[in-house]
Amino acid sequence: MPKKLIYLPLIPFLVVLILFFVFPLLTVLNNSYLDKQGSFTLVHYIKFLTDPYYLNVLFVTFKISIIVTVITLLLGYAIAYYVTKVLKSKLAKRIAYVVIISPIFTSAVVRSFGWIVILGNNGFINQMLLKIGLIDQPIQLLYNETGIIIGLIYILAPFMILSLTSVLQSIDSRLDEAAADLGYSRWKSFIKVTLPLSVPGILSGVMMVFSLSLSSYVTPALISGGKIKVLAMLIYEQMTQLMNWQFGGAMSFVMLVVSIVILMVNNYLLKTRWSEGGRS
Amino acid sequence: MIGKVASRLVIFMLFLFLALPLIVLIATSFTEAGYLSFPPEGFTFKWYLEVLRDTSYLDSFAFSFYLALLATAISIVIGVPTAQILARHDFFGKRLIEMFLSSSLLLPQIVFGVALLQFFSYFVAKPQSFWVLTLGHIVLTLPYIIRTCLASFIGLGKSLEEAGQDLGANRIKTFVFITLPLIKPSVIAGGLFAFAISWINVEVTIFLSASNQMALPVKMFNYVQYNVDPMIAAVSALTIYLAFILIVIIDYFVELENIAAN
Repeated sequence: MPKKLIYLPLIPFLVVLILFFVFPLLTVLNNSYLDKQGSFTLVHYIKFLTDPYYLNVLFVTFKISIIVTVITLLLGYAIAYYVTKVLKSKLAKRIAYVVIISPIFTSAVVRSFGWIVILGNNGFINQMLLKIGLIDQPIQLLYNETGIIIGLIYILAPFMILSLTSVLQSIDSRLDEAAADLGYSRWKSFIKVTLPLSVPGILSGVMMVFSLSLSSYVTPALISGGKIKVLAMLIYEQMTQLMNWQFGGAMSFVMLVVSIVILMVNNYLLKTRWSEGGRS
Repeated sequence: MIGKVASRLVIFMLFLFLALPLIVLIATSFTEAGYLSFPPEGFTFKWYLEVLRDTSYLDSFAFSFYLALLATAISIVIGVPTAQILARHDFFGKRLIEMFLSSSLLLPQIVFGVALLQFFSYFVAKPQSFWVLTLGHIVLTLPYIIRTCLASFIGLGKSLEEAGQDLGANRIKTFVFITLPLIKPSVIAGGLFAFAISWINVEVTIFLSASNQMALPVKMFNYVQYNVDPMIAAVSALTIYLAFILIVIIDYFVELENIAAN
């Protein structure tokens, strides 16, 4: 068989990738610098990046994403460490993975809905706090940033946990034993050995959670009830209700560029500072 | 000692945090009250019966299921040979493809939804159609198939395929009778993953949904935005049961731990 024919099965994939992924994204870019008459303008970008209303939404979106990322890292690390280093029984590990992974298989709608039931004024948490007398009237947990943050941490935690477990389980446990032989306490051996070796997992988890929360739509829309706006909600509004596709396109493109930058920073850090599996 | 108890407690709380929302939804779907209550009041199947009587939900279930199945099937047909080539050969542009595969999870889905809507509205009057939706879902699911199969192809090596060819089987025969059986578990696991990705998608689907044919998560999204009641909790619970079934099947074919490492 001639050598070139080997690549024949790649064609359908390349057609799908170029026609239905690359071209559509280029369309968005193209529309974003056109005005209604179809001539070149940067007015959409200028409006988006100077108008205080839009800047505030951008600020809120970044703020929420940063808080979500930091908390998810702390909580995800604890869970990932427990599952890979503390849990010994095979069955327990399996159950832990089912609990971690099963939310990924249900839609963000269902998962956010779960939090609406828990956080609402008549919800589980408020009822419990009222019953034990910690509060006299329900505290507002929905329709605000706190609610969005709680929801997003829950939605994105599995991604953080999985990128940490994949690195943590590849760290040789004999390294910990060696550290113990050298008289390191468990805590010191964690700081000196495990933590530095898990940096690649931390990086990829952080980048993933940060960019997914920047672009999240369903959870903020449901939990905020529209009272707080994040970037994705603005884009949806422009595209479907206000029908300003050029402006919506400009905002979409900014969002895309931000995630590409995050991606490149991630690749750069992983390649230059940390080679595969450890510090070079 | 106290430290140990405290850290156990923290871990327990963290796992509770992960499990609670789904548990709460399942529990409230059995409540007898007409509003959402947790812990549920009494026990009844009446909300499930109500869902079954409302044909619009059954239609959405069927629509989403069919969409996910079709997108996954096409992705498998396109993706498995692609994975094999990526695993076995070096060629110009391979780095770019790998970059797409590794970054697809991070790229904002809502932007991709916007992009498909804008792109297809150049060609068709109404981009909110089943086939545009299917194309979008193929792009969403392909990376999952390719990535799981790629790992399996690399792990497999090519000695068995070469042995087949030495014994006189041609390329297609080798693929069907040797390669495919060997990577079957990964195809199934990747396929189930891909199915789930399509089945739960809102961000892309919402831009391409026609009002008479609504995918289940989009229909639920539109409902929950304005209304929460035990009936929609029952719909949610049904999707949670399906998720558990998918996970158990995946765990049977490839251990979840391996998926986690991927």
